[in-house]
Amino acid sequence: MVELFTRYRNTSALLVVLALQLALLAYQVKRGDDARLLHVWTAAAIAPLQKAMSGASHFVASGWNDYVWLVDTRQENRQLRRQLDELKLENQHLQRSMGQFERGQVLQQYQQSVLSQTVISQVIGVGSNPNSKEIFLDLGTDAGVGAGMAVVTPDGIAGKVHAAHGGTSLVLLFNDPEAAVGVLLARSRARGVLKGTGSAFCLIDYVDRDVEVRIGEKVYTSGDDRIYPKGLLVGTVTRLEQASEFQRIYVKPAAPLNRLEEVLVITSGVHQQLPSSSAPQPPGRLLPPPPADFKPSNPVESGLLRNRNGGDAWGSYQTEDSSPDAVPRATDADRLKRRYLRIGQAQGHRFGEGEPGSPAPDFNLQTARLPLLAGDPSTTQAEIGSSAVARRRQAESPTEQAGAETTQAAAPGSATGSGASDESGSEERRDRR
Amino acid sequence: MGQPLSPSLVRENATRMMTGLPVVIAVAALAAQVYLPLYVRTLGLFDLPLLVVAYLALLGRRPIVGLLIGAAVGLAQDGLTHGPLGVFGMTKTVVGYLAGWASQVIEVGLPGVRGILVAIFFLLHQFLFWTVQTVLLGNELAVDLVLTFGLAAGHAAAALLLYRLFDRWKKTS
Repeated sequence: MVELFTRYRNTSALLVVLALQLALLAYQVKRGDDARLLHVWTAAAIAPLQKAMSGASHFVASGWNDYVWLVDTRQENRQLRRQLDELKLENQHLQRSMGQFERGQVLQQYQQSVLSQTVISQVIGVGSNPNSKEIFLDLGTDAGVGAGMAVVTPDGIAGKVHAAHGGTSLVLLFNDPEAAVGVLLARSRARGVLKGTGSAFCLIDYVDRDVEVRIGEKVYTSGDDRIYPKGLLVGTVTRLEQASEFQRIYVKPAAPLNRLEEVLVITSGVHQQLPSSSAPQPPGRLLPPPPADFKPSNPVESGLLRNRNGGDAWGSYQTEDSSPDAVPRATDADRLKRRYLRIGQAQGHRFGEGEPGSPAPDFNLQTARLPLLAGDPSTTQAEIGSSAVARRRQAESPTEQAGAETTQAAAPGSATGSGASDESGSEERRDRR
Repeated sequence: MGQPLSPSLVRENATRMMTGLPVVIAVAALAAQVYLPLYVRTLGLFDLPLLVVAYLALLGRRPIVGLLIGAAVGLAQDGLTHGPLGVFGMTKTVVGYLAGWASQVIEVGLPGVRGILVAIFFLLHQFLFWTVQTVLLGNELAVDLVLTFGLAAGHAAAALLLYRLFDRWKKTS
């Protein structure tokens, strides 16, 4: 055997090695797994060489590409610069389009918010006279634009159409030296004429010195010029100059007159009220009206709601606001009408049926002494309660009669949270006189 | 193949490489086999470890040396695959053995002979590999003969270039 192995040494070695590997293979196939250890060893032996090869190739490749192979770099750089320029132009175009779109949206929203009928127009040029403030619009008589129409922007008024042609129109901006606008100061309610100066500021001249004007006060159109509808923002007071009898008010236009792009031409103007925020505010702070379903949760709160005359103020709230048989809230005019009806009823007078020249009822009659109108659904529980209280107080002290009447008128007013009670009280005082 | 060369002639033509260099070449071939196809996928069709086994076995001039080299490189190549160990091991063992035996019976220093031997070894390697895969492991392998013979020619050409490079590193004993 040994001799055979020695004689066929090479072949025997081959068979042994093959047999070993075959056994290894068979073992792995039968076990369903491989010799993991050899895999790990091989990978661990090869991995450093792989990393070295990868690093070396990366180093060589990067060195070659970054420092040697630069044949196309100049051309590529030129091409990239050209692409960059094209992209810059495209970006500018897109930004301009987006800005135009956003401005158009703002203009459309403003167009829907104003009462006047308007058309949107693009500014296509400026006037040739450098001393005047003029712009050209892309709409003319074909689109219904005519001379004398007001031109506004969402920021404020811009000017008026000076001349309209077929497809274009010339607009005189209101800061032109020849332009004038009838204006109203928001806080002081002083009226005046705003004139253009050709500069960034306009001037309201000849305003009485007694008028208290403040820096920062808003200026609106008054509608007196018959061109600009009332209530459009013109600008803001920026400077005041006191003269001997008058004061000069400098106003900065609200609209960007030197960079207008889209404007609205008012084809049919409608006057509107000045914004409520610019109306004079009463001193102090008013609480919001109580909720309709509010009820006092404890006797203390109920006691707090009971007024000085013994009347139940909560009853007034409840009756007018939330009781099942509640009637609609009455205005001061309604209360005045009911009062006159009660006076007429007490004196047997029927309104609208007397002959001309027949004696009028005595309107100075005190309503607290009068019976309530029977079957009048608008006679509120507050009036009933307050009139009963007034009659009782009148019986106790005639001098407090006027106060009771004032309370009667003030109770519904206070329920609505408005300032109408003072007016109602003053109305009754005038009636007494 | 003819009669084996006389032992004196074999010793006369026996050459050796620098110590450790065969190991470096074998490891480099294995590393290149798994690395170069990342960048050139065609190189994945070439079996660089086979070329190295054939060269080292031809250089060793002894079948036992050849089969040991083949077994070692083949098992290492198996270690870099997800398959079981022994597939490349057995095929390269046979190739190494035959290369060592061939170096004893024919003059393998000639480039043409080397090329033909490498082409034969490649075909034999592919046949053994297919046999092991299908017969022993039960895997279905499609055989493209045209591609296989083309690759055999390609391996022969690559061997001519590679072996000239390796020959510069060997020294005559």
